[in-house]
Amino acid sequence: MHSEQSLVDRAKQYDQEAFGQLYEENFDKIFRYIALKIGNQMEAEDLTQQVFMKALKSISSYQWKEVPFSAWLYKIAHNQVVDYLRKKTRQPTTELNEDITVGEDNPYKNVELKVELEQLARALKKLTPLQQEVLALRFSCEMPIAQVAGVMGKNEGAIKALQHSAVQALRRIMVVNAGE
Amino acid sequence: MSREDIYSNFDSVFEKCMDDIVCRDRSVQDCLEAYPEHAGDLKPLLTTVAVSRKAAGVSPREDFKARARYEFYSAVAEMKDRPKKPWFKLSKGWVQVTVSAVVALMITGGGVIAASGSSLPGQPLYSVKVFTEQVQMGLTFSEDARTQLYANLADRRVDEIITLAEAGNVEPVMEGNEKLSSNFAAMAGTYSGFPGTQQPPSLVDSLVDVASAPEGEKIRASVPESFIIEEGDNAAVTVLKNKAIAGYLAIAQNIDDATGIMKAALEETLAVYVQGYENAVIMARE
Repeated sequence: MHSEQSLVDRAKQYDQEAFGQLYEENFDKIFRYIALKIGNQMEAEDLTQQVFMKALKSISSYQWKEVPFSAWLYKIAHNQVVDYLRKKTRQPTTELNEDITVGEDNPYKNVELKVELEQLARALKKLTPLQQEVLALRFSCEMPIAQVAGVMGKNEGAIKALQHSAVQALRRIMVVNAGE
Repeated sequence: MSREDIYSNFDSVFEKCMDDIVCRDRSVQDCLEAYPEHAGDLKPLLTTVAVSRKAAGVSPREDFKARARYEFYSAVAEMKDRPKKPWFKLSKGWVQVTVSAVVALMITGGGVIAASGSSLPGQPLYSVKVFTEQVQMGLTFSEDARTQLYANLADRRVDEIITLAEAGNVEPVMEGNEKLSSNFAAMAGTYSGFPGTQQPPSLVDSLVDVASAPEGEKIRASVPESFIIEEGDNAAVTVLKNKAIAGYLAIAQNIDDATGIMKAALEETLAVYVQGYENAVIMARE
């Protein structure tokens, strides 16, 4: 933990190596978190980059609080996703499938995985916001329960119960969807 | 054991299994075998976890990551260079002193000027770069020398546009197109008879042809005929055509690599570029 704190202290001085290390360690995880919440990989890429740009602009005001630096990044990512979804609802809706052209030039070779991501994102949207959050953090970031509790500001017992109810609800939704 | 204890115990077992699957890459079957007394309740939930985890295991594209990384590291470097607060406000007198200092730095090859050479639109040192170019232009008097300098500056604008395009920044590329267009307009103004941004009427028609080429294919198919060096071309025209071909190919290559809106932005770059150089070549010939 202390080594991360010193890394963050150096990043606050815009030390390229230190900030670069934080960027490399967290980029893919933040991307997965956002992709899972919005169900669109290309948009998730852009939003992920915006998260790190915002972190760079705000790092001088960051204060170490004995929680991983990633917790701060997830908060920025969460706000970014909320803004994105708010703007999206104001625009004419587009089916997620239409965002990607499937064909020889499709940048995502594993089309099946993309479809699964979209289905999962749709299913998650039917859960409560807290259930969505706990599963997004668990699935996308492979974050242990204690860290999820830290990010969400709740105790571990509450997160365990929330996680259990979230997976149960997700199961029901998936079963219903599979039967349609 | 109370009902709450039973639920709490199941939550803990479920959490342990979920942790094993999500963080330690263990299989559902491993977990079921570890807790046979809960296997019936665990199986549907853990299967849901395993399927969801697999679906969530996406990664950003490598080419996007490379561009994003470059953009981010550049931004970190820029933030480091940026002064936190202005430590004094420039008075009119100080402006004159500062301008003199910048000119002196340019003459002596100062570090700031050197550092600004690789700066891009939107970066702090870019204004220094533009300022030194203007001073340089102000100290260049003959038509041929000014045309040559404008051609060099066009190359520089194209390099900037390509770097920005590689970083995936569409808006700065569009701004770069405007700067490139202004550069060519000023280049046209170096010749008597075509002051400022005025365009010769005969050229406007040929530019419309270029702009209306279907999907940009026509102008990318080959180097424009007007750029091919011919017998009888004077030295100035030959230099311009050589420069024009090199820049044309660089932009065309980047158009081929680009997609979506970036491709459209670079096609506009190419149209501006062809238009500007066709003007310059005809004027240098006269």
